Amino acid sequence: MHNYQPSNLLTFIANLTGSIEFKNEIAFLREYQERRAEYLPFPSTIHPLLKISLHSMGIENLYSHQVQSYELTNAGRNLVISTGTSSGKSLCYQLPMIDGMLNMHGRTGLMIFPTKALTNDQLNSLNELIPTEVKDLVKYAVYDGDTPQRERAMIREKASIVLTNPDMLNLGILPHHPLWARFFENLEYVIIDEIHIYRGVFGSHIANLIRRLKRITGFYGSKPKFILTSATIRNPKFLAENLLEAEVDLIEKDGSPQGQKFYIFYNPPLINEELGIREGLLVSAGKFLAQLYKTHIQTLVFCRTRRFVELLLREVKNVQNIPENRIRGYRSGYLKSERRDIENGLKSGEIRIGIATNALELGVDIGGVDCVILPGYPGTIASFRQRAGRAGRKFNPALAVFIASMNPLDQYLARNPEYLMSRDPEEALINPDNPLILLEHLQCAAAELPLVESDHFGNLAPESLKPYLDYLESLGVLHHKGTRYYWVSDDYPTQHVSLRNTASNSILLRRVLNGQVEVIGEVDYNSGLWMVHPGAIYIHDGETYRVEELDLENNLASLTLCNEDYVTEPIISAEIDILSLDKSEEKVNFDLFCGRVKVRSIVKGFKRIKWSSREVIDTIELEMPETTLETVGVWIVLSDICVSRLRDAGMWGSDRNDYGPHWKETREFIRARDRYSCKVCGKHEVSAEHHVHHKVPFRLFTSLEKANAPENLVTLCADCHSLVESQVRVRSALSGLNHLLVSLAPLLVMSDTGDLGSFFEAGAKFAENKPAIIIYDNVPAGIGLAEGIYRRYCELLQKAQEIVTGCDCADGCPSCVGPALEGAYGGKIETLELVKYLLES
Amino acid sequence: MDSMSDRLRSLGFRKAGYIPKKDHIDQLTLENVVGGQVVQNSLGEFVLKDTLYPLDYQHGIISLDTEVETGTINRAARINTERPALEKLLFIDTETSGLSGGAGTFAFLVGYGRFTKEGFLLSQVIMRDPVEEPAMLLHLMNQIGREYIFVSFNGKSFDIPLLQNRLVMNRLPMKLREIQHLDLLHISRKLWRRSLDSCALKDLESAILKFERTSEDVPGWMIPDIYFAFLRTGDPSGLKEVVYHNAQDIVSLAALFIHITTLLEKNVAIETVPIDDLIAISRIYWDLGSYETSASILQSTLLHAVDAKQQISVNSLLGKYYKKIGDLQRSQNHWKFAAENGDITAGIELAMYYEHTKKDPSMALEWCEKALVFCNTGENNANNAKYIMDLHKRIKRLQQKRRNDV
Repeated sequence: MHNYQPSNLLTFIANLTGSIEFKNEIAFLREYQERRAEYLPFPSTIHPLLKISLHSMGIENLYSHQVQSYELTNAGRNLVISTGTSSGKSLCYQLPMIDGMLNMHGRTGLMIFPTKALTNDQLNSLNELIPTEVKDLVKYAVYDGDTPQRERAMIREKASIVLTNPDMLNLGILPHHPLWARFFENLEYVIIDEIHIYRGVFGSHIANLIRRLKRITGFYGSKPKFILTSATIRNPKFLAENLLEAEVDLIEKDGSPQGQKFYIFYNPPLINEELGIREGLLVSAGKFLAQLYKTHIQTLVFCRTRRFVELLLREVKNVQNIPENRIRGYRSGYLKSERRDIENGLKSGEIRIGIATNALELGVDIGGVDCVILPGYPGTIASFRQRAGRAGRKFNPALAVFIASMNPLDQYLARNPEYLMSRDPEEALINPDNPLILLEHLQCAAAELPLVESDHFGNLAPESLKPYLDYLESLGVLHHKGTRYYWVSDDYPTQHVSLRNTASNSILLRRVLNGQVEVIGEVDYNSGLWMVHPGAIYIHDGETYRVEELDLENNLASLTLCNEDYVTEPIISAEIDILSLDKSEEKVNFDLFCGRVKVRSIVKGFKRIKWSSREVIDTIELEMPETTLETVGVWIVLSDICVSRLRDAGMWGSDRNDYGPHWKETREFIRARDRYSCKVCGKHEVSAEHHVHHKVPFRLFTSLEKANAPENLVTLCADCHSLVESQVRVRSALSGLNHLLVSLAPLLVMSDTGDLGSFFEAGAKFAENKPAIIIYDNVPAGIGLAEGIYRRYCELLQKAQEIVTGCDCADGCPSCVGPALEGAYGGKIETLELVKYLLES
Repeated sequence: MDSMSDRLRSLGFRKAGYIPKKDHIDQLTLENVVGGQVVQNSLGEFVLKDTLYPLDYQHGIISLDTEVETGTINRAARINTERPALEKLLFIDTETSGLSGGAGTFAFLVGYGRFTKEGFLLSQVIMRDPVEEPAMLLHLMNQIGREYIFVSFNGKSFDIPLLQNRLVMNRLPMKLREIQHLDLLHISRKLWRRSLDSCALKDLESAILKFERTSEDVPGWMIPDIYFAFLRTGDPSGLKEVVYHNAQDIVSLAALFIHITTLLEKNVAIETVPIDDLIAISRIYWDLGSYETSASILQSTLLHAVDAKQQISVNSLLGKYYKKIGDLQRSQNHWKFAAENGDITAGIELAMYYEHTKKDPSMALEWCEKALVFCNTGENNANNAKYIMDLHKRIKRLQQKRRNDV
């Protein structure tokens, strides 16, 4: 049924690198040799019954990291295991937990998974592993929102192992802890799977959830061991220790075997060099699939959006002529039975091409495939690796192909593949002490058990907690008597906690498609005002929408899919107040600061800018409310030295424009019109002729007449001209750098679009009227992203330099310095110059 | 504190504003206002109020000294006791900090009443502050022996689990679930769900017991806020009404218990009981397997003025009875009456009778079609969809049979 031979893949790769169609666009090709398994014998202490079930599952040896986890857990340590995809991570926690339960009956374990798919997968796996003889002693069950009411009491009273998710722990378990008294009294193991997902706001909530869990286990007199797993991120130990606020041992040496593996990075050909436009992902992916299909190589494509799944399906069926029964889509929205079908088809090999969203990423068992294609960067390195890791069976060779899109991040990665390949992924950052998040969980905690004055909450000392508790008392929800704070409200506080958001409101994004209303996401209120103002073109998950309406009473934005040839740029007037300066570094060319800031902004209107020519079509005014965000920011302020260096740099000498055959006459005419005096300082011409300046830079015009139209020209003396040009230049450089820093930041700190806000100005009030860029967390009080950037700004600048240097465009494109400002240059040269100075000092 | 609230507000935290605290300077104490006394035990202090209702106390139409026979109600509530002594019943009700449940909800007042030789003794324990919860719960624990039976209204799913939570949270080892529990909500629903719009205690109190509360009462939903206001200001005056409310709930509970047991015992005077109640009682006996009793109550209703709807119910139930004892002829007569007047189950029973016993598919079909008409025209019933499906199946089969016969 499946004509695949391991050699097919090698042939395919050989053909690819030899073909005219593909070879020039292959930015990177690497082969990883087969890796042998590192086995260790079963530890002698493993319960005999467990040994028998392992044998019956065909497991004769354990990988080194599995044995290590077993031993460290038994030594009473907290662990985080960070090894590759399908390296047998589950056994790392299952073994010590089940073994412990067999050795001492009555012990319990809590397993927390981020998704239902993972929970169900785990249930099957436990079913295999727990010896039949003891199934009555070690009972396990899922306890989540789907668990029928009639089964719940039984699970609470009898189960040894409870599988759940963070939301249920928050809403359904902790607030009802007295019903779980037996379970918590005997709690010995807490498993938290896939912790790399718990970053940013979500992670900060989870850390507080763990603080609450620990209070409860403390009340019942148990002190469970925590076993965590993580995809490969830069700081699994750091993240785990921040989540648990306890010492955690890291296991990262992977003892599992791996077959030979190839990675290819494909950067689609430029179809418009001037504008830096490349062939689309859809077309490139389709071409690959056609080739792979011909060569009988089973392939899985991970798309970033559900819509892309459908488009690609259509592309390969219609354009590439692949038979329908061999190719299937897989995404949420498909029926459960349909999904099982596809999973089985992929396992058996009947389905040759699977086109999926991340619905397939976590914990759905389909075995390995021969090839994985990633059209577009999935957003984090951890996720990239997890998806690419789906390619590979234990012994056959496998291939992962990354196809770069046009955005700067993708382009950066296409040029710097090492970034994805070497072990230096982004940091996952959390801030459990974010006041808004903390305040919510303190209320939940108080409702769970009265808070005692002298108690810590996680690492927070009583004196740091007191202001919060007093505040809650002043609101009337806590009652302070003796040494305790009691919850005195008819409210059920956990129901107001949304683990994925802070307490401030957010705007729901709704789209109407074929008469059906669907919520496709949300943005926080403050960003919403400039991201989804009425008329905005908004890109979400790779789709282009126009905002039809922004209803601020109900916090709803209504979007429709569109295909406009313009983008919009909000006109924001912002004021930044520095509230406190926490850290700073002084350099020759710039100063770098980090601290608490207040961002007051108002969206005055927006510009519609033609995508292809970058011409401003028109400017539309809006009436929007002012917003205030108090957060943490990092800002770069250019020194006077830096500015004068930028001015003095001879960069414009090198690109003297050809102003056309009649320039001499035009110039004479303008000087005469302006009475031979400088329109800035008023100085008359003495010996040398004054200059004639283009208000809107000449380069931005396609028509000579328009560029040289009298209203675009003005007479300036040499000094003033230099000053004006340098301001334009500074603005261009700031704009380019700002664009780069914000788009590249996710390489260092795990963040999603919209997590960071930014603002720049050539004469920034908050920086004594000097040119400055500020980047801030888009979450009230911050979640650590700005601090992360402060720590690693040098790396970020280097990456900015690499990407601009490597970009093929003429003078700026969406893949490097971003769209040009009105009245400024494309900004490529200026940005590069600025970055050079910043890196020097 | 102000800076914290400013800070949080500037970060976007939105919540109700500042609430003034402890501006109460009056010397009123809670125990004085409610007429109780402070009691002390090893875990601290709380307030206890005892009220004795004399034996001849009249609560609406119920006299508390009515002779009570509990055999049937115990069977209906699956209470397992040899010889149920009235003194072992503990009528219990709590006033809480809310209805949301979970560990954040507590009971600040627990009332429990018992029949004693002197009369109905109501005890109410109240905490003047959450600090007093352990002492209050300890006292309660010592009052409740395992030989007691709780009598409550919705206490099985609310009051008792809530008290159990509080015991656990205060590390008091008692297991309330091991104490038998008679929840009057369930049996009240069986009795009056067909004749009353609401079976809430307040509504049964006025509709069944004919008792009206004085203006001293306060609606239940206001109670948490009254207690919170007391905690904040120290002014206990609002709690007087809460204590009254709780007392009336418990006395009503006892009166309701007396009324239900009276209804359920055979020696009830048929003339004084509404027909709807009698039909409901016959259903309870039926469910308990006392078919004879059920039928004799039904028969007795036929001697009285019975309206059309009641006649249908009585005939339908009697049809069921005669089928049970094998008197198909008589059961058929009752069903015919019921079915012709719109009772769907009776129609189906008749169809079954004609199909299987009489082997007369034509007659059976006729009854099926009648029943089907009532399904589509009669009152909406949750079961109608199922009946319609069953009927269509039956009709198809009967048509087949009839063709075979011909």
